[in-house]
Amino acid sequence: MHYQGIEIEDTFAEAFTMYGTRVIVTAATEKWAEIAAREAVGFATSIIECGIEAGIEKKLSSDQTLDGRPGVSLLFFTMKEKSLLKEMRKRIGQTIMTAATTACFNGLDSDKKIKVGGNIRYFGDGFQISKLYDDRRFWRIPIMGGEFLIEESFGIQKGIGGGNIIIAGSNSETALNAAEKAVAAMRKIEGVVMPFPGGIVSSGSKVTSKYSFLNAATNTKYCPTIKAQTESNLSEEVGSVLEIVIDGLSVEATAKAMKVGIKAAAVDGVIKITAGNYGGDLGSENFYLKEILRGDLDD
Amino acid sequence: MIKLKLKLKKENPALIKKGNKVIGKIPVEVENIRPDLIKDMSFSELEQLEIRAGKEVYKLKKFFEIEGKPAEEIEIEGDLSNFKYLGAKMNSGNIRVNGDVGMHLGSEMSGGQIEVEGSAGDWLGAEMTGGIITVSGDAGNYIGAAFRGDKLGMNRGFIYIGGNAGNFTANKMRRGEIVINGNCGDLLGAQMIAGSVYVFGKCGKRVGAGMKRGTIVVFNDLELLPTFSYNISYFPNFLNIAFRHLKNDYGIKIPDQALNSEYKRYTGDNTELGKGEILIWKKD
Repeated sequence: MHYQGIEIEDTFAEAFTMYGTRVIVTAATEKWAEIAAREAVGFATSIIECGIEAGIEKKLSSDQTLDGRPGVSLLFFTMKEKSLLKEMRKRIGQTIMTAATTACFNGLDSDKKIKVGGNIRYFGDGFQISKLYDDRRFWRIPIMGGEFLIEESFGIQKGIGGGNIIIAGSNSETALNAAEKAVAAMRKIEGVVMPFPGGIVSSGSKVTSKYSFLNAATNTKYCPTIKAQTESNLSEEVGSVLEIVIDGLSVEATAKAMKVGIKAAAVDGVIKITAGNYGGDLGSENFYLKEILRGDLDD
Repeated sequence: MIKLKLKLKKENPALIKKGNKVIGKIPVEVENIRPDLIKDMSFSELEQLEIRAGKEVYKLKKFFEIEGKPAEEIEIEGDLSNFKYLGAKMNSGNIRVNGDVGMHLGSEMSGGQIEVEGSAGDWLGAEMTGGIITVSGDAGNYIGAAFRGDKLGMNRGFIYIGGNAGNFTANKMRRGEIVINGNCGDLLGAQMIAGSVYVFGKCGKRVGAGMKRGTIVVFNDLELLPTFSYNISYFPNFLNIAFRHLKNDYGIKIPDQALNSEYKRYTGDNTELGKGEILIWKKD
């Protein structure tokens, strides 16, 4: 298969059911909203070692937030529903509440909720104050900087983790150029985040290892520097491979992000675009590139 | 939408007359005029609805000209200032009154909405647990309060008074919101337990006396009890949400300057738990 002359491998991305939530962080200035947001989603690339996957969904202007201040929308995902509360409590408590002038609100309408603010309120040491507006409860927690405002409950829903595309370029520069273009296009899609640094994974992994103490190791089939030493999926021309992992609140949003990402990545110097899977036996959702690009392919 | 219209008859059993002159009115209890009770009645059942005036019991049709059908929307016209318990204990539907209403309007209601184009008497929304009451004019004492001997006043719901309010507004209030556009009498928020009260006019004496928790926001300076302590002047971010909620959900006009300007935060009553707060807007 080809798109704009670039080879698209007839394969699929294998994704998993995750549990996701959307958090809106606001602050007195755009600068502090962003600082808090970046801290909150830091070290949240892969569930394997970080316990949670997270990313910035989009910036919000002051007329788009509940308290009329500049904000940032964040998405968080975990494999288990239960661990979402534990991880969120830690992240919001340690990175958002500690950032100057911030407040934190639920951004996801859902019947299923976790009481994040309802847990963090105890930091107020008995001086916390509850306010209830339209069945939404907020907690005012006295802090050294003034007052931290957080919503009691955050909506959660089933989402999709591990949607992905893999871009094989002729060299590191062309692969990065294509991946950056893909990420820029994917960031315009609501309901998805790309949790890795800059949205791009430079060291994708496989779920096996030669070492018994290690669950995951470098994805040898896609490592260009060892393609003659081991079984490889790469052709001779490939000099660098980058992956973009997508976590989404829905199958539709994930598929849309993959589609715009592949289309944006189809630039000069890209040898092939493919996707990662484990044979289809492990994941809950398979995203076939042929289906995603239906109607857009050259052949 | 199907509506039930009730127009108070000029001649009705509650009038006390001397010759042709009306010299007084007997209190009338209309706790049966509730949308949730009426909506499923037949027209003849509605006509027979009992109303107590003094020691006598009358039928609805004796007091009102009835138009439309039994419905969740009730529109009432006339001076009902001697009518008590209108909408009391209602849990859904709407009552709209063109004229004044007496005591206990919407007391103990749990849902629905009451709108009054006029003024209302004492105990408005007392011990209500939900719903909305808006009054364009003034209202009496004990708005959203607890009845004598009871522990909790208003516990959820929303009350708006376009004019002035009497004494003991929000007495023992537990949850919900009360907005007074005009002035408020003495002992606003006395023994308040939680909830929010906003007064855009001036307040009387002893605001927050004995309050445990809760928030009273006032837009004019007031004489505070010595059992309240000054903490800080700042803009509490929660007011951004509170004001937007009042504006968007209830159409309350909030002065632009009230957003992002400072409020003096006093806490008390220190003779009680001391966790109540009075926020006083610093106008300049």
